Amino acid sequence: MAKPGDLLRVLRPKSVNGLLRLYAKNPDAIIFAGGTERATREKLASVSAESKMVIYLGKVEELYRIRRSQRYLEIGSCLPISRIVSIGRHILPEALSTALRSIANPAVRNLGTLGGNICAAMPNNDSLAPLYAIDGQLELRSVSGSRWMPISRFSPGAGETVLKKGEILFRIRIPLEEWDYQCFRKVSGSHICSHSLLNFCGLARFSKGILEAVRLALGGLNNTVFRSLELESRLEGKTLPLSEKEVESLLAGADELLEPLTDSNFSPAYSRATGLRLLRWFIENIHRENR
Amino acid sequence: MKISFLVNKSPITINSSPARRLVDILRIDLGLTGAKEGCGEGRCGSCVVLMNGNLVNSCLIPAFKLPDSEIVTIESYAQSKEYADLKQALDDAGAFPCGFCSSGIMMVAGNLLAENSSPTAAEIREALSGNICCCGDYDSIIEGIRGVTIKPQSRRYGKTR
Amino acid sequence: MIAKQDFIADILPEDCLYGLTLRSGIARGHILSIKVPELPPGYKAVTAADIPGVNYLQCPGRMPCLAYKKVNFIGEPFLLMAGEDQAVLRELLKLIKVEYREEEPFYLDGMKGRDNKRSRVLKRLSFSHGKIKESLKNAYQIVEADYRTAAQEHFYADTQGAVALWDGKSLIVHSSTQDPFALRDNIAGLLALNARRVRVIVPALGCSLDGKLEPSFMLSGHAALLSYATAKPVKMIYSREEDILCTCKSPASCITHRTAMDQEGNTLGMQVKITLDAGAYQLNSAHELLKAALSACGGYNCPNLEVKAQLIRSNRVPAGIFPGFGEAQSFFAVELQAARLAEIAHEDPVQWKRRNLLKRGANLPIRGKIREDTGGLPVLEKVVAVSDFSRKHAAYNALKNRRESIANTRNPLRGIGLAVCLKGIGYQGEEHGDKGCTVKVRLELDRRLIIMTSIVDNELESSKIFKQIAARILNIEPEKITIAPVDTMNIPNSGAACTVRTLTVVFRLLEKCCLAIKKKRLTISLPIEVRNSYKAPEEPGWDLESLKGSPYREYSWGATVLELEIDPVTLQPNCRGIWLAIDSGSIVDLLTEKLAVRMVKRMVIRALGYTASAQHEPADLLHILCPEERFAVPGLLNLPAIEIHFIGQGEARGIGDLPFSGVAPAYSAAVSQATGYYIDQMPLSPEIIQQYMEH
Repeated sequence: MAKPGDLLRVLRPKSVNGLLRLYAKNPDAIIFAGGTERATREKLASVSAESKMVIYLGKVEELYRIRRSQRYLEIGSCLPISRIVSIGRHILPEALSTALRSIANPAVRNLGTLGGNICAAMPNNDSLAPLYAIDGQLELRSVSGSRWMPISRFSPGAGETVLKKGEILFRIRIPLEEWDYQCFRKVSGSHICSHSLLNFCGLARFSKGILEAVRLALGGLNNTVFRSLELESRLEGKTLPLSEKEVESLLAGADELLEPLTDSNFSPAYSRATGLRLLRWFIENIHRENR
Repeated sequence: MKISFLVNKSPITINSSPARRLVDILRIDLGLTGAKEGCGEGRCGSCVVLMNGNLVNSCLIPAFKLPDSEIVTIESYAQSKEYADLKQALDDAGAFPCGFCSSGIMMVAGNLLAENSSPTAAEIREALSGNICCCGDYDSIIEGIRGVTIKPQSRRYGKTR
Repeated sequence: MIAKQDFIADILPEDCLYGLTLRSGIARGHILSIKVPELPPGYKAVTAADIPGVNYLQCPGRMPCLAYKKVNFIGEPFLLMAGEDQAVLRELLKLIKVEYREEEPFYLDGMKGRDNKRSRVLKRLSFSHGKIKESLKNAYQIVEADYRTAAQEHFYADTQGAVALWDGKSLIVHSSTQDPFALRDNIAGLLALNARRVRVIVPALGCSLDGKLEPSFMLSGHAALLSYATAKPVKMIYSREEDILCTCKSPASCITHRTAMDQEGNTLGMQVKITLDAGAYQLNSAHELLKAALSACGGYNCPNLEVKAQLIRSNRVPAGIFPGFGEAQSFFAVELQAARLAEIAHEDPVQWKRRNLLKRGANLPIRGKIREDTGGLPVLEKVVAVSDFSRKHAAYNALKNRRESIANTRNPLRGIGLAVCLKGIGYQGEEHGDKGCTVKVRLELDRRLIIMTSIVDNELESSKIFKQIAARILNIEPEKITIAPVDTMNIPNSGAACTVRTLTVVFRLLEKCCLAIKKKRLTISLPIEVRNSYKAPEEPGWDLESLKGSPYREYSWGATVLELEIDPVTLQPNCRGIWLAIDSGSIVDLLTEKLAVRMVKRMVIRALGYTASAQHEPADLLHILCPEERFAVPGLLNLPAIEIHFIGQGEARGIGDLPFSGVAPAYSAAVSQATGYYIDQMPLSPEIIQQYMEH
């Protein structure tokens, strides 16, 4: 009797063009990179049962490149997280580096990829809030060509992406800007969990007591990572420290925009309250960081 | 599919469904039962092996990733002097009441010590953050790993800190 | 103890089939029909109808080995299938069509405190002494509160498994079990065999935490049935998910305390109502109920006491033996109640405990006598001293009182909690677990010593200590001492492995055997074999009906202090330190201090894990459990510093699972102080703390 899995075809393209041609011909194939999401026994079993094809990206060299220019760092989507962290040690924005180093555990970081973390599109995935905050950009490629988009447009909802059939995430472009204060915080469900159920990334630039630029991103709360340009622009130009009234007004604004998922592992009440507390904590800490 | 790869420096060729996991190939097909399966999702670290020089959870590696790769398991590491020193230090500390997590932890510890011959307790914790000891034996484990660094190092490791 | 040793999952005989289980998807109801598709050659299905002997397991309470028509919990097994390939088996199981008639399930509804009307009371227990009704009437005030603990998961490292080999006449079962002889008898009954035809071999076991008793009987029974049906070796290993779904949990509890206080803050009387959830079948819960009832008023002097305890049946996984064993649930409730009483009396908790704890030589109504050389005060004083409890408690109280609410605070919220517990050692009731416990030792011709016992207790590093004991008495190098593999064909029945028995009974029996060999060696030639059995006293020392006598031979005491801080942004508690003072006699006679400390530290870490990990409601089980909750054991990061102090004198008594009784209430009391809310449930999470904030 044919065993499940025997019928699974695995293709191992050796170049990105080869990959895109194959994927165009077989748009229902499952893309496989690090496998930290997809390689549990149950998931492999359902891949075997339902889809007859896997395209494994392990040999596509272009997906493993990391390149730096003056303004950007460009990271191939299949580079393992641990490699990104070690190569990018002095280059990666600190908040992103902290977030990547907090993903799962060392062995999983040797396998998991940034592309996988982004394409899984679970809003609590650790790389997302920092990438939203620093305005990361994604290059998507298919046989028809390539397109760039800001990461904020990539995922319309939890688990969903705008990737078309035959299209892959090729690389991630990270602007290398100077920030005076960067932070990433992760909230897990208990003192024994390291799984991120909520996370926060905040960036600030200030000079002479004036807040020049600020970024605030909350992951794991709404359907996608929460970031509000409107709220950020309200803060920009303000003198530090902010008054309690200003902080309250900001939080009230944020409160209206937060729509906690009801089917996540956290209760909506906790998610909302903690999200607001994270925002307040960050804003008050900028004040302390600003000497 | 036919898969050829290196296991503990020996070339192996097996016939396997491409979706079969490395942890099953090692434990069932090759009889290398040192790596254990504790959770099946890369959380507990009992199944850790070296793949192409990197520590990975073998429960997350499907067979189709294996061609041309090099796997090193605890069975190979256990032949080395470094392992013997580490084992002695861990025994002295009274570590591993049951031993189920020991092969995963020793793979990680061995890898750490090869890169950093006298890690701090914080560095040990960080390195072992993906290993769970259900017996709760962490203090003895850390004591044992630190214990091995106090012993005089062989020349192979170069200078001590 | 790192050796290349085989755990159950490592055992793979030639030509072995795998076995998988089909389980009920409903919590309560009937199976109307099962349609099994045509199976490929080499694949075979087995249901209750195929069981040659009796379709139940004795744990000692009974549960079906395979549900026949009635199902009583989500995950109850009713069909088994064996075959060559596990992936094929999984696909075949998915093709089986099952029709159910579903009925409304009933639960303890623990978090809400009311048991569903349709829940059934399996057992009631009550006792009282003094005049509780009067004391309540004359009270200046009555402090009433409900306390709840959820069913908890064991989380041993090695998931459960069994490998069965039927050769047409007799059966060999490799099983991850703590009680090979009870397992043997169960399988014999299942297959209608004489017990002599069943041989049970226990491979290397992880720290079992009492989790490998009842479920091991069922799993081994399943493997045995499949092997019997296919005439081939069959191996069944649970995945972590399946293990969590279907193996026994601790009983969930709901305990109500009503304490009468006078105007000066003295306790006049306690009324305690205990409800334990046995789950779908009563396995060992009656004994847990008894232990919970006996611990209802904790280590305190209580002139007027009334305890009413009931065991209810619900449609969840059966509760089994669990560290804490009923006592942990009671101590959780009574220690938190004590913290509350101290606060209401405006008294420092240490002072309150000094006044109320049982002293040396105290006569406990119902519970016997506290020995002259022990009592609650020594451990209390020690733990308070080493942890600096009083100063910190006062300081954190001051911080709490200055705070308006925790909603707007910036600094970490600090709290410190204290719990004093006692553990009864050596149950003296009729159902004496230690009866017949036997150890055998053999000195061979070549002077190798072989120790034969069914006990392997990794908690206690028992194998190491057996060798130490024998080496010491007989002056033999440890290398020449072997612990015989646990194989019912070759070793005597020493009962189920449990820490108290191992420490207080089995070590003693081993000592006696070694001393006997030492003596005989002078006059008899080798080989010499000696056996010793525990002799239970003729009359049980305690009668449950009349409550005459003393339920336990003696008591051990443990006092726990736990300090933590709560992140004001995430409401995440972070434990900073745990101190434990234990009086269990001179435990260091039997175990070295280093080993004893190690052992208790491990228990403390696991107990800490239990404060955060809950078993979800049955319907939620596999769908909402986040990956961490599927395997919620503390990892290396964020572990607190733990200090253990042994202060006992005299003969060593057991420690048992004292850490499991003390850590949870100390943790909750610390969270209570840090947040300003009376925490009354376990486990805790930041979300639950948020809920307290909002109400």
